[in-house]
Amino acid sequence: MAHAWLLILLPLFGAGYLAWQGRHLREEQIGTIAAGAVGGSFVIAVLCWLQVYALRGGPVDHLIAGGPSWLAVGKLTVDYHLLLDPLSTVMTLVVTGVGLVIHLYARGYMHGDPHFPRFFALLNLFIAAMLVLVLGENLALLFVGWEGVGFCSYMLIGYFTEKQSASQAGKKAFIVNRIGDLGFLLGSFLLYRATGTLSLPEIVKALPAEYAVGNPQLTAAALCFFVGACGKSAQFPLYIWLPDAMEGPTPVSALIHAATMVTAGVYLTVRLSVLYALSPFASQVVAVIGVLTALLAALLALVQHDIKKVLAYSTVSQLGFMFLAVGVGAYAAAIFHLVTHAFFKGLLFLCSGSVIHAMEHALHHAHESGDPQDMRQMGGLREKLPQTHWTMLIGGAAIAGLPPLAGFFSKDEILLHAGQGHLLLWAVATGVALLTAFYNARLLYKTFWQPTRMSAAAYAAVEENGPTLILPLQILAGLAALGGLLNLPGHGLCSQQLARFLDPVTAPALHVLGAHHPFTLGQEVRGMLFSVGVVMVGLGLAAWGYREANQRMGQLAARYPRCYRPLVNLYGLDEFYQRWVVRPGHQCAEWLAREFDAGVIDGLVNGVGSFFSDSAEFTRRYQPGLVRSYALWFTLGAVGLLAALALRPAPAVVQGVVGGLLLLLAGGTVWVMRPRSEA
Amino acid sequence: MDFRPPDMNLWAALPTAVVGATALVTLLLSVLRPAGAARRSISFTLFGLALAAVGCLPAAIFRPGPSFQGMLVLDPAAVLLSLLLLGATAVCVLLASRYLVHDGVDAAEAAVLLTLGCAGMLFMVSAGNLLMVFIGLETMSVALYILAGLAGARDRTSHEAALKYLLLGAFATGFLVYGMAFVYGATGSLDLREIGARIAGGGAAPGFLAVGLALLLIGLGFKVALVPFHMWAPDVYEGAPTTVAAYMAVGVKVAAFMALLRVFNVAAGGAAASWQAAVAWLAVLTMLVGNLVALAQTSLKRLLAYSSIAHAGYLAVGLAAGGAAGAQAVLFYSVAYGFMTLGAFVVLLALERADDKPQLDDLRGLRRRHPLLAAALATFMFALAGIPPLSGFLGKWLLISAAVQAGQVPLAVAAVLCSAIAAFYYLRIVVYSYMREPADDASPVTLAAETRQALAACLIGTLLCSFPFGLWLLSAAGWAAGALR
Repeated sequence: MAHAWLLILLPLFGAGYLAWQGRHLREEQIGTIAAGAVGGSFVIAVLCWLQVYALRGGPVDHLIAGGPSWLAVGKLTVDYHLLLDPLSTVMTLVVTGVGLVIHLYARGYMHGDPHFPRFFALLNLFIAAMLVLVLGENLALLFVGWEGVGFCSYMLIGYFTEKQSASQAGKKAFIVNRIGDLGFLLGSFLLYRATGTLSLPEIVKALPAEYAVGNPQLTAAALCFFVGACGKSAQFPLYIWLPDAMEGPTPVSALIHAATMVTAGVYLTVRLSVLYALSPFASQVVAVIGVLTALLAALLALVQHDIKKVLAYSTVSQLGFMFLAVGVGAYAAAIFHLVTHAFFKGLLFLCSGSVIHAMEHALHHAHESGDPQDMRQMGGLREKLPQTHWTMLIGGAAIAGLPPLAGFFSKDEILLHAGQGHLLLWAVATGVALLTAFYNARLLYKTFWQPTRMSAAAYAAVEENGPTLILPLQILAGLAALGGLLNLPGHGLCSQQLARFLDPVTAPALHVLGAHHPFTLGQEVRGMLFSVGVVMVGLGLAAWGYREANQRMGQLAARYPRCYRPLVNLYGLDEFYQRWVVRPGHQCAEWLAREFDAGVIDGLVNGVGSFFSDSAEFTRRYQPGLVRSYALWFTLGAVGLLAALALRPAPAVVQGVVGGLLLLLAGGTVWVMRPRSEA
Repeated sequence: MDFRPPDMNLWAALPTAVVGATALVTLLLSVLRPAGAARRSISFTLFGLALAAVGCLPAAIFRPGPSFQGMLVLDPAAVLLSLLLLGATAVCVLLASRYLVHDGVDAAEAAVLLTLGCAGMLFMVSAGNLLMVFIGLETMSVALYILAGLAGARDRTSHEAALKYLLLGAFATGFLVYGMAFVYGATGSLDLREIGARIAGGGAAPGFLAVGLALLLIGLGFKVALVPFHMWAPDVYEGAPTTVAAYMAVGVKVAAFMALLRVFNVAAGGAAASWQAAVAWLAVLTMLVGNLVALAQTSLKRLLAYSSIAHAGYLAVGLAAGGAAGAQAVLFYSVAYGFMTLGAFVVLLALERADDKPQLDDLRGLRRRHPLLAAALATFMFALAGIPPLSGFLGKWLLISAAVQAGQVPLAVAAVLCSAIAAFYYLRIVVYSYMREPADDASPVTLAAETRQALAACLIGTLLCSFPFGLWLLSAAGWAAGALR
């Protein structure tokens, strides 16, 4: 299985080579190397998937790609092992597949950028780190990837280094993620304490065998890991970094902040599903936080004017859906939604990038300044960007949940599971589904369908982008349309393919959760009809509000400021953090720098230094240069040494008396020989 | 009573004999044919030392082990250190031909004395009998008393140094000989292997033995400058010509430590309980005082003197650790120490002006004035400070791990802490030569051919003791330590 390592090494070498030699290469060469490395990874990912697929029904359910040992301390051993099982191969396919498409897209999108090589080096490094994350056989290796993707995310959010807001956003993402990372680490420590290993397959095997449901230690570990997941996957209350992360280039938003990295938290919880199954309380927390985040973020998406911000909040909301699925024990459904979300959200972001690219070009051409991402300055782009329009329409319909597109099946699956005994969760989730349909339709109306609000010169200058940008859109549109085939509902031959494939991963958790009754046909049909109805209501509301540039929504907002204002203010969460976390932190750091560092730390260091130089000076003075004093010291030492050796067998009293006398003698000599002033 | 023919293994005496003969022939030649004696005697001496180095090999190959009724033991450890001492002597002869001549000294005279001292040192490192230790030590010391005062015509402190060294040396020798008498009284023998056997067999009077060992420790501790028997060292190093100071710092210390190793670690190893703690205390005291006082020095010669005192402390850590690991560490560190200290002294010599001793301030801007010399100095200082991957690091690592293996963790901790103090003054030298602007009247530095050769030899030696080449020396030292009997 050693070839699995190539998965990681190819993009890693790509990153290294581009960082080293990228400056001397042409743009096409750079794009080819970067995309080629990811493409190679994708091919190997397919091979690995086939190998794992061939294990189906056999006695072995996962493969290990061995590597050298990383560290062995006491009982703790950590090896460079890669875990190939259904879950990791699915994730690998998504990461490399969607990653490849986005690399192809970025070649065109980043054209002319002065730091082209840096961009692709980081993008390749990200792919490598993400693959370490999903393939790591143990929590330590997983954490390496976890931090690696965090680093790449930080570097790429702040990619436009000349923009102050971009570097601020990068810092924000990094710092908020630290909180999550602490959770991850604490969770790892707790799990190591509980099982004595960091190896994921062993943990999954050991936990149900050794611990009963509801064990508080496991609950603590599960909650810690969920804090980690909240940071990485932008869940309430740590989601605040993701909207700001849109400062990064659009391909980055699509790849890292929609399709792959932000789903790492979902991957982690599914990977540790047995832990959550053993802790009903932690599962409830996950579900409640998930659905709460879904709701809050969907509401925020309603009022955003920046096209990428809408999609960012939408991502937060959809991730909330995935956590809801994990919380109610629908692990396969969570992964299913993760995969389809990667397709359609990647698609939506790339479409928005295409719109922004065209807008930038048009504004530049017309010599106008303006925000190319602001939907208030768009409208009427349908005729100008036909390709972008129809692919984005597919993406919007998919995320809204219109049959038979991918989002319909995956969201429906989650709603069905939530509907089983979690009525409140189900109700809120259904409401979110309505909102999702609404804000996506709003986005399409404001961008494409409403009459244009651009100047005539700028509007005339809008041109559809070239094939390097459009082809990736079409690929992803196809996937977004057909992704539902992966896991069709029902009980037929083609149904539940993904869930069945993932069975080895989810089975231990499902076993702990107890008997699961498959949904009856009636339940499924009712659920589908209901959710189609909900989506239709959402779309209808959007049509009522945004058709023909009427001001109905504006009037509504003006009439109910108490509902509208908090949304515009993002619930005041950022101010809250600023006031209660950031500012006290600053004050504390300043105090430490001023008082503690200067007083205690520097004082300690300087004190040690001056102590030694003082004692050096003191000792130096006992060297007057006279032979007789040297002989005296010599004799004193000789007597001491003789006494020490000769009196070893003597009784303690004798030793004490002689020792005391010698000390007296030494003290007297020190006194007699004390350095006198030079005069 | 059976008759055994005397064990006349002349191979074992070959190196010492060659060195002695070289000295005598040089002396005769310089008296009989004074014209051009200086150049000729230097070349001849160097040739003789090289021949002696080759002469070590037959004994090592054909008849290793004790000979002359156990008087001489040319085992691998002795060969290793003999080679080092011959090399160090050669370097000093080379330097003397350049620098001592400036002090108004006859080159031939200096070469003869250095070579005679070397003969004494060779006896010490291969001594199998306390008498041999004594003879070697005295041969070496007498030569050194004279050498220390050689520059007296120009520099009064040189005479002062010689007198101090002579007086205190005589004082210490008294302790040494008295100690030998006590050991003889306790064990009935002066033969080191015999002494070891008696101690192991329980046939040694413990009280007498303890007193004897204490006196021996004092006598030899004086030669290697263990605190509190160290006070002569800074004055003598400072007063003696720098070439001689280098010779003392390297040659005397290495030879006397080998003698200490043979007496304590090997012969009295069975009675380790009685002396180990005392040696450990001396080691701690030596490292502490040596490093501390070095901090306060601005004269480079005195600084190196205290540095060499501190290094005697490190070597004593290996002695206190005992066992094969301790012996290996001492052997390795002796060689590493020899090269790096000799190198530091060579740099000092290159900086020396007519009539002032080099101070720390004289190093300012050395990087500009002579980049190569600055780089060499930095290398030696880093090595002395024990910074990886240089020889000093490997050596300290060996010493400290030997102490830990012997269960003497506090000793190891003390050694580490003292090394930390030491880093300050070694690195300060590098800071001065690299980061301070040169004084306005700073003269450019030019290196004589002899200095360049000596510097190259020391640099190559230091690098050969450093990672990764040093690993060979490390295993060689381990092998030699294993063969110590």
